[in-house]
Amino acid sequence: MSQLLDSTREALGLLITGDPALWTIIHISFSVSLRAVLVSAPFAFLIAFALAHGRFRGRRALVSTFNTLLALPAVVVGLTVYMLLSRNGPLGDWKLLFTQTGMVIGQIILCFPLLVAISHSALQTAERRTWETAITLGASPLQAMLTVMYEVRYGLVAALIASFGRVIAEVGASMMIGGNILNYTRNITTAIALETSKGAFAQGIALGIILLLSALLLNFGLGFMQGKGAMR
Amino acid sequence: MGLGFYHLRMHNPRGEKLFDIDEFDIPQGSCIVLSGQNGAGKTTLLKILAGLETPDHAEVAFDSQRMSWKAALSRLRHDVVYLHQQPYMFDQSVAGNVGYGLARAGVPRSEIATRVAEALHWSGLSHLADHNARELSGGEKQRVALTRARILSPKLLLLDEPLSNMDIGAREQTILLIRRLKEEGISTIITSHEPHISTLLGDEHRHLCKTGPCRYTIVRPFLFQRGIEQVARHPAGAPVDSNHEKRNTMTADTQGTQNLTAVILAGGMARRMDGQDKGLIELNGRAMIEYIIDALKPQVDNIVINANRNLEQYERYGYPVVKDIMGDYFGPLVGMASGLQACDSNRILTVPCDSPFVPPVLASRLNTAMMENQADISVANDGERMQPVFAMIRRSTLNSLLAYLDDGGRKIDTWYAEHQTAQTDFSDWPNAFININTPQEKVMVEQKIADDLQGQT
Repeated sequence: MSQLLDSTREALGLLITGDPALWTIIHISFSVSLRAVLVSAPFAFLIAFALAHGRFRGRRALVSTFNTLLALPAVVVGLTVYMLLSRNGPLGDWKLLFTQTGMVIGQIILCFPLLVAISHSALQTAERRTWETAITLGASPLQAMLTVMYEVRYGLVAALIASFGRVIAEVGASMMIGGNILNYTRNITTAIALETSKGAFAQGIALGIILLLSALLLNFGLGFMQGKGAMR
Repeated sequence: MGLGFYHLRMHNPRGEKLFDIDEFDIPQGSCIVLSGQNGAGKTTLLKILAGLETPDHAEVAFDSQRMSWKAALSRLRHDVVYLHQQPYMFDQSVAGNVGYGLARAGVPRSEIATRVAEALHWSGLSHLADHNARELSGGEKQRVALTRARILSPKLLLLDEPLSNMDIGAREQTILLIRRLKEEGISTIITSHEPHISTLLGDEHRHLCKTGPCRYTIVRPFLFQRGIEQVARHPAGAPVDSNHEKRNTMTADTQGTQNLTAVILAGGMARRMDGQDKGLIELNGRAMIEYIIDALKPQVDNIVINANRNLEQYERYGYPVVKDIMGDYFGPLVGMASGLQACDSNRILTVPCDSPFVPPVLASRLNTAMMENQADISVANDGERMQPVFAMIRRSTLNSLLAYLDDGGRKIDTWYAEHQTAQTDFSDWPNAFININTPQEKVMVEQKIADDLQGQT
């Protein structure tokens, strides 16, 4: 018990003093996950729009495929990408294993289905009238699509927040693809795993607090956005 | 710009044929009121015209340039603006909504601001410019939608039930705006199930009419009254007309001009006469219809002939000849409806083409009975039974007649029963209802005509 208290006190100390090693790790975590979400978002929104408003064969099958992919375990993604990127793998020439870009790829695969699923249900709430009104007022199909997206913007922001929350908290893919290299690919979750296995709890707890706080904040934002979307 | 659509075909969501329209032309600056039952495809038709829904088949003509609907698509989307029954407001300010189209067209911001301000002034919405458009009332939304469309100077404006679910004040303001759009030379098509809207706004009425199982086509039931133009010609910005004037136009629409048009029903198939055109059968050297015209001329103001075959021969008599407005050989009710739509009288007198001995007192007696009983329909009776095709019918029944035909009704008696109907006894004119159905009857009638002639000399 006293060990837990001592470690927590130490952890708070680290956070308050702005321990550079700690903040580097936090920075890497946010930077990698943000890149993953931002790269995925445009494509995910486009697909979600097609699924919500397009009329083509196999649309329903695609929707359920993306819903199924929500259950993709992070370690399995990590394993697959690891094998693809490893020196002997088909994409070994890209030399992306144990790099931040490799981590971004893994996280993209993880957050993409979530982005599609949530933005799909948001875009579904936009009526056909929205699209028709835009088109009849002279908007090009692309402009009309952007208009529809703007009309459900709160839902789309909610999709961004939820997927960011998912990838920033995952361990499996980051650990296997990134390799937990200090100051390069060590992020919050892999650091916690490492420090805990070493028995150095203070840094682990400090990082845990950051993760917890950001998760709370994100979920608060998510709730706010969803409320705002529902109000209109 | 003249705009026309040809061979418009569309199915409904169940895959059944919905409508099949040979020609739908939109003269420049005209206001067409489009009516039709629920499910007849009014909204679908408008969306096809606006390039928002893909028809099974359609050809489009701009001026005289003819092309497929697909090839015309971008031009349709540019030139035609469709307004939903409940207009969609973008989640932004009223000014933002009005400027939407201009912004998408790449018009510079400063110019958009000026034009939006001008447009909002035009529609009297300036005070709402900064409000979120979603928070407006239904009537205000409709006016924003009209303003948003007008600022793009479309060639054609399609209004889907623009006045439904609106209180009186909002309606009047909307009507005023629509009228002013018309004065600016923008063609409009308005769908409505309220017939009197046509009086307030339209100069042509078309009805999407059922002509077979799950198939609709366009008929043109009304000719419009002079009184309406008067209302429409009011200067922009003038206050909505006094009640007095409105009442006048209302009566004009429902009752038509104060005169009487005879409709000779010659549209039948004459199955028992080997399909000969009955009206043209010669009796002692003169076509049967000539006897009828002679008898009717002194009794009525105008004559219209309803026929479906040998139109040129009928036209020789110098009177308008109208074909059935729907179906193929649906019977005398369609002939009556066709006659009503082809004239502007407040009442018509119908007679069949195969009864040559029309009594000289037919119109006056039917009229008396109509007035005394305040009836919509006045029918002759031969002393034993009703003779339904010898009738005087008020224009005000036309909408009900079209609705009845739309529902598949073909029986005269059943439709008459829906109205205040008066019957007049003509048992003192025993020959009046003799008609020719067989060659034997023809010989008898010819003999009778010869006898009558002899009696006169």
